[in-house]
Amino acid sequence: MAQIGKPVITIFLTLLLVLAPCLAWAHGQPVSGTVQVQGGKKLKKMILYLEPANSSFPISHNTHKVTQKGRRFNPGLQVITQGDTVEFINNEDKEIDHNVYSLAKTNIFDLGLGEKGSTLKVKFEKEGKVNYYCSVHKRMEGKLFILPSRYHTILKTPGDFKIDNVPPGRWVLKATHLHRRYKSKTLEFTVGNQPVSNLVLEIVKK
Amino acid sequence: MMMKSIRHILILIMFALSGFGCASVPEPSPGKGALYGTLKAQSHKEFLDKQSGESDVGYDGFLGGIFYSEAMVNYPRLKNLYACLMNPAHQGGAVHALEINGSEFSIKSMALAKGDRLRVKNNSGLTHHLYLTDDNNEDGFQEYAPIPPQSEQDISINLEGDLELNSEEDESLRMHVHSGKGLDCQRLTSGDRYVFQDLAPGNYNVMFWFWRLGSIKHQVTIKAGQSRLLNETLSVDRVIH
Repeated sequence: MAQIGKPVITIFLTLLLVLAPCLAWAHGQPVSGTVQVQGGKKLKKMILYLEPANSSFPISHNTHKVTQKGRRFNPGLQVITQGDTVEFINNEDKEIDHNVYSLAKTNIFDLGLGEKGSTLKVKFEKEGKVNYYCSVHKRMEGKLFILPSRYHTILKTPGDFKIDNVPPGRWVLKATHLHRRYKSKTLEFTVGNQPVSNLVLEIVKK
Repeated sequence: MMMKSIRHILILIMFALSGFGCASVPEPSPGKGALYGTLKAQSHKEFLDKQSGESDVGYDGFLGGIFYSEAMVNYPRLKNLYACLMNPAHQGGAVHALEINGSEFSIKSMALAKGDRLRVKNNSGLTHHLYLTDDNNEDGFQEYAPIPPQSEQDISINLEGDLELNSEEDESLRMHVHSGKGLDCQRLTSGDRYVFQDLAPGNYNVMFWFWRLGSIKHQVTIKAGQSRLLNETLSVDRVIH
């Protein structure tokens, strides 16, 4: 029993050492504040996100689904993280083929033709905005925001925000949105053992 | 088999009648050259392969091969394709007419030279503050004086690249703009012929562009007394692959 127990304890301790940083990440702090837009403009669908101030940061990769039904991409706007994969699922009721492609300089792709019931997938390695289209149907277009970290929130209109469970470290708060007239200032701050509050992020006219 | 042969003969007759195969060659002035050709837009190759495999029809659709429903991109009839010559001798400053009708511009996309102007007539009931942004550079930005309802104003395009013209008052009002130094562009409908006449001999970059299909570029050499033929087809698979 003692002979079996020693290796088990060794493995357990090794795993604990390896997973310790991950457990620390899991116990992050909330980050909150307010967004103020120059001139009080009610910008819609604003995405607030955190970028690690230091370049190295572990990211787990997810897979997201976008359906194609009624000759529309749903959701038409999706926020994902660098390294994530998006599956485009053709779930039309009728035999309608779709194609998915993008000319975005950071993420150019053409997934070919997908029949009813098929799934086309693509991995997004670089951050940025991606407009994508179906080459068959003229009103089929969608938008992806590919962020450098998973810590983000979407505001319907400017106001208070909160991003939960942010790991300790140095972070930069940024915002992006669909209205091209405005740009976000950035805000750098540190997350420690306490919640971060009262941040004020300014969105200004270009 | 018989029907297939008749169809092929009909296609050949249509080509001959349309003048596609025997369009007259432009004659440049002495010491000059010319560039000409036909620009087409085309569905994705996989879509065409599937359609032709299933129904054995001509891929252009103009003989009824593919029925383009209202929801589909009708490539054989696609408008606002551009054939552009990057001509160092071409100075910006050309004026292009544009109207604001409700929440739409009269032209959805435009390729032009940096320094060209848009003569914008505002037929809507709103005063519009138009601005120009760069798709690939957040700092690329140009704004214009307000255009009151029922008035006309010239705005200049001073940015280069893939741009978007928007209105601060109406977010659905937008036009895709491709701007470049020395671009000399002709607006075409799919299947139209373009001609760049009386070019000084030398090397030129040529670009074919549609906002949703991207661009295909070529470098051509123009020789004195010669007319160079360059046909091109814009499709998603050709642009991306």
